Amino acid sequence: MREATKHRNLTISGVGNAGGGVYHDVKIKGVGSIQGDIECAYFKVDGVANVYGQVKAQHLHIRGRSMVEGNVTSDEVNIEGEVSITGNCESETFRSHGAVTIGGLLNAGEVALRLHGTSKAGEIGGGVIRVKKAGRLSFFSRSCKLSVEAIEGDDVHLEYTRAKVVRGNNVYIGPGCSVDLVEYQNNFRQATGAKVLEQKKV
Amino acid sequence: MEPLISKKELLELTSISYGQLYRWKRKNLIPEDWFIRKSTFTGQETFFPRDKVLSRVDQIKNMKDDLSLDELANVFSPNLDDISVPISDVVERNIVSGVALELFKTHHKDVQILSFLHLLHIYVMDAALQLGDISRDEGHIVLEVLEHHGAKFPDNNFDVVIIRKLGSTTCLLASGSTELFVDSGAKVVARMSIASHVEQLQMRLQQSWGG
Repeated sequence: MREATKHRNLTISGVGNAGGGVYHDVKIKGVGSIQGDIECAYFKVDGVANVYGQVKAQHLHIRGRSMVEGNVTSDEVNIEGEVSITGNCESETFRSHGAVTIGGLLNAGEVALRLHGTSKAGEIGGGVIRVKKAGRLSFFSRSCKLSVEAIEGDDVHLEYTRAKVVRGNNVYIGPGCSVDLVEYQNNFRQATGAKVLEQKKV
Repeated sequence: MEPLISKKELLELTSISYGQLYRWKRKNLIPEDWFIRKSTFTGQETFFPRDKVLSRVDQIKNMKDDLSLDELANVFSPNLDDISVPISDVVERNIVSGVALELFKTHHKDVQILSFLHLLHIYVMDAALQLGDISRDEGHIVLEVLEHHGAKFPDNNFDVVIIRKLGSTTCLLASGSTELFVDSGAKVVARMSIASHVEQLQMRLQQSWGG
């Protein structure tokens, strides 16, 4: 990723609009919208942010609600709240607490999703993939669910997930899951109450 | 149509894991357009161009102990604009042959510093010369076509095709996956993929810097 230290910061406090571009820090507190591709070292949202373009950020922290109409590339993504990305999302780590919608592929070395409400993704691929229900105190916990076409990873641990295919070395299909096909290399475990139509060791 | 390999087969054959494959994809070590989505009876599956992806995975596995993944990414998709070599070094560093360079010099008398594109054109022509596919005179044709039309293809994704009929030779450029058919009196003498020559040249440049 480009060395961005020489670039200026973009701060939106309150309600504001900005164009895309290359920045060092991008901070949105309140309601912000960005028209165009954006590249930065640090992208932080407290509130609501909409980006109409690609996002490239070394660190991406979102608290609140965000929408990206495009792809996201990052080293580290942390989400507390509700995020939707229409394209693909690539990151070394992707951690979220809340509801995530990804139109295309979520590709990350480490994926950790704590589900509140309804999450969706086209596909999830990576090294370690963990999907769990958020804590019991959560207001939304009754309806938490992830639906995804396919999940592929080395270590896959799923709860409350609806998937057509899950492939991996070590696969755990936990409570609330419904999976059509599991393909695993080493290890497969299934919680009581998890629905798996077909399982294959390959 | 080139033969394809499914993702599952690829992982089995090369004994890499999903995690590695996805990491390499993130680092652009395996280009996006090699991931070919097809629907099969088990749903969507991903396929790759067999030969390309196998040799790429092999290269990555061989080099990943010495180079970081980011450095590797640079080998496969380098910033080509940054590269330039003084003309006096080209033969010395064994990038192209002296004969090929002389041919180039007859076109460009006053060029002293060669850009990557220059080097690539000479390198491709040199490769054909060394294989005995073309004569020196025909080398001029190849150079000329490459220089005038090579830039029209995005991402260097095209082939140089050399066709000979009744002793006369012509050279044309065709985008990567185009199929070509010629009449029975004509012969396709050589078809060279520019993308793979870009990679080879890149490796050669790297070696000559390293050594």
